[in-house]
Amino acid sequence: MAPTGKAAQKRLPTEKQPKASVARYLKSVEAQIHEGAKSALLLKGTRCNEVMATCLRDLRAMKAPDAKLLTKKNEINVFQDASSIEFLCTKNDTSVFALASHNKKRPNNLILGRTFDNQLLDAIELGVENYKSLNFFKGAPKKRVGSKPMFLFVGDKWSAEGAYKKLQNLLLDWFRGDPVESLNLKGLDHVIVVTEIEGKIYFRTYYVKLKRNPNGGDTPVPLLTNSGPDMDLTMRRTQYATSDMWKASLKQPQQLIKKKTKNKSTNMFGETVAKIHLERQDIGGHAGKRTKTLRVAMANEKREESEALEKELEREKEAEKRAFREEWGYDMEGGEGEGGGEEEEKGRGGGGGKRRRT
Amino acid sequence: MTLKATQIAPNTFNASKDNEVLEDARYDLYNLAAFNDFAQRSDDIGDSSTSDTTADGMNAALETFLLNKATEGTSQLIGALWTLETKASDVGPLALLPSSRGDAEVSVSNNAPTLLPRAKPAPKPKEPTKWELFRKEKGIETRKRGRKEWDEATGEWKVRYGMGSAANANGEWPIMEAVQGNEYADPWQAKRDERKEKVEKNQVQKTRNMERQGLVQKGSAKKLEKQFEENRKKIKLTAPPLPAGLPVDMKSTKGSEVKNRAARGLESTKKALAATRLSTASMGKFDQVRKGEDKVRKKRSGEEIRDRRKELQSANQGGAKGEADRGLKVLNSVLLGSEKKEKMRRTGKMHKGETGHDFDYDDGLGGGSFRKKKGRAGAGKLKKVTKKNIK
Repeated sequence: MAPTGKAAQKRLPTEKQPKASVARYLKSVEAQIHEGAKSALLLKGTRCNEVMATCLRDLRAMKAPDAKLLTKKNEINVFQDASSIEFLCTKNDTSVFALASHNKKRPNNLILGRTFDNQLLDAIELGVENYKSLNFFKGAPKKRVGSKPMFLFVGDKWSAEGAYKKLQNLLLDWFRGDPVESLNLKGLDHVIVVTEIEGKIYFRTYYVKLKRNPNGGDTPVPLLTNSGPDMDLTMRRTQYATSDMWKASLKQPQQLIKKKTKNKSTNMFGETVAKIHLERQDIGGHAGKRTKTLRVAMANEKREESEALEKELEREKEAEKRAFREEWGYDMEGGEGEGGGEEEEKGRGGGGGKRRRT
Repeated sequence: MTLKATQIAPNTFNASKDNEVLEDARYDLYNLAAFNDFAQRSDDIGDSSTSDTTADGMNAALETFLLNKATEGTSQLIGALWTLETKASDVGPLALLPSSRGDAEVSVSNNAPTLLPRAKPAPKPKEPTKWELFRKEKGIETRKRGRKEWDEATGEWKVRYGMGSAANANGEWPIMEAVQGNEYADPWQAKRDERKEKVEKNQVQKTRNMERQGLVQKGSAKKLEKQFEENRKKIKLTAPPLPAGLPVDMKSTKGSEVKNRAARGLESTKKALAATRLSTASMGKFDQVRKGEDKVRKKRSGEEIRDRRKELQSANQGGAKGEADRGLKVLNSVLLGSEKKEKMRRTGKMHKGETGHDFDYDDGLGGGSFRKKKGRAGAGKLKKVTKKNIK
């Protein structure tokens, strides 16, 4: 199946739409906000021996149900031409792969890699030694299908920048399964322990049985038993992602970026408490609702004001009259108007005088 | 048989080993990972077990060492996981893992989560369609409707849409009302047209939504709208204004496009008249001609005015073969009709027995567009175009 290209383009509603089954498939291959477990593609290279074939089968058992094991041999050289592996991963809708091969130059070769946006992201070539398959630990209890692994990386090289750190990132990505927000801890049943001792890498898988803590308390005590697959790894060739591609692959969808809600908090009763910040209220300036009493009050106020004003004016007039009487000896008639008239006459005289000159 | 913690994880729970340094782990709880950042030395291997220097012995010592380290680290990891808050669910208490980007508070310190890449680039947030915006504004909730609906009229459970639905059952009931505006219009055709218009409107709106989301070039919705308008206009031109069954209006077609078949009522009638005239014994020569009718003319449509002199000249050309060819041509014309018609017949445009006029009556409208064979086969075999073959 896997229609690509034309079928994947967005069509106008008037053009021929893809069939319902095709449309469903395309929808399933679409990018999602929350990604599930990464599917793994397990294939053989140009030549493969029994050990590596068993290794692939065991990896499939580990990754089940998110793994696809291809049976045919493929003449793929990942480090020379990435297009064929990219094509296979796109067609099978897988984003992580393991290519096993064996030749004289590179015995027991295992290339672990991942893709982003249908392009090769990382690939690390590992040499497998001392391989112990699931079959080797036949009677031992094994992990349940689909359970999430716990990880333990022992050694100082894992934290320093370099090839080991990149390998750690790849291994975590390869084996972790479904990235979930919550987990039933009782379902944890195995741990992948990758130990680094003086440059040598020991990959071990243990079945974990959680036992009740004899010292009391809720936290159980794990009992580890070898379950396989176990292998000793040496790093060979590597191809890492360009920084641009790496940055692009880490980009989170906008929808997931949680917006921080400041100011909100929950009190001990479970109520949401927040502080509302108001601006300074201009109590004096804003006009409120006009009620009857307010109107009456306002009218009264106005009246009082005008009365006060009138009184003031009266007082001033009286003061002027008195002053006039004192100065001139007789009463001012008409009051202020006369005084004003006097001033006017003066002004007129002056003005007239001015005019005569010109 | 009770297992003691000291037996399971001696390094972790052996209180007596005071000088044993516990290698504190760093965690990434979202990925259920713990990191022991202490350097491991090969001298530490073979400490606890017997001094067996054989390969198997060394291996066994190594495995024991690895197992011890593993147990130590795993118990620490489990300890850290058990400190997480839980939420209740029907499968039991679920531990809430810290978010993948580490912005929640983590009870254990110094734990930056491992940034793991995505498989596919994040999908861009879709711009909501007009309906979605409206829905959000009004607070309309979607409700899932059942597949079947009770149809009161027939008293049955019918599918909501499609074949067998109540709305689709137009063939079962007669249409009582005439089409608005045109009494003689075909009401079924009108219904079909109405449905078509709705579909087209929906397509235009879908395209507009796609434009808004950036999936399609800007302006395609308008283009589509225009296209539909034009199609509708075209149909109006060719559609008969009178209902099907009644004779087509006698509209003058002088100077108009010949292809406008629907309006060729007068011409078609004239041709039909001419054909019927020829059916008499004397080829219509002595028929009574009514007022307004054309006289019977020898000239038929598609044929040129015969030049007798030229014909006599060319009659003797080509020698014996030429004469034979000409004779065959005449014979074929008599038996089968004109060459043009022969070609139409060959290409399947005139299906045998389609009409009674296939071979005798030429109404000048040419072959139909009916093709018995469908698809590519209907187009016919491609004949190689050569100098002789150019038509």
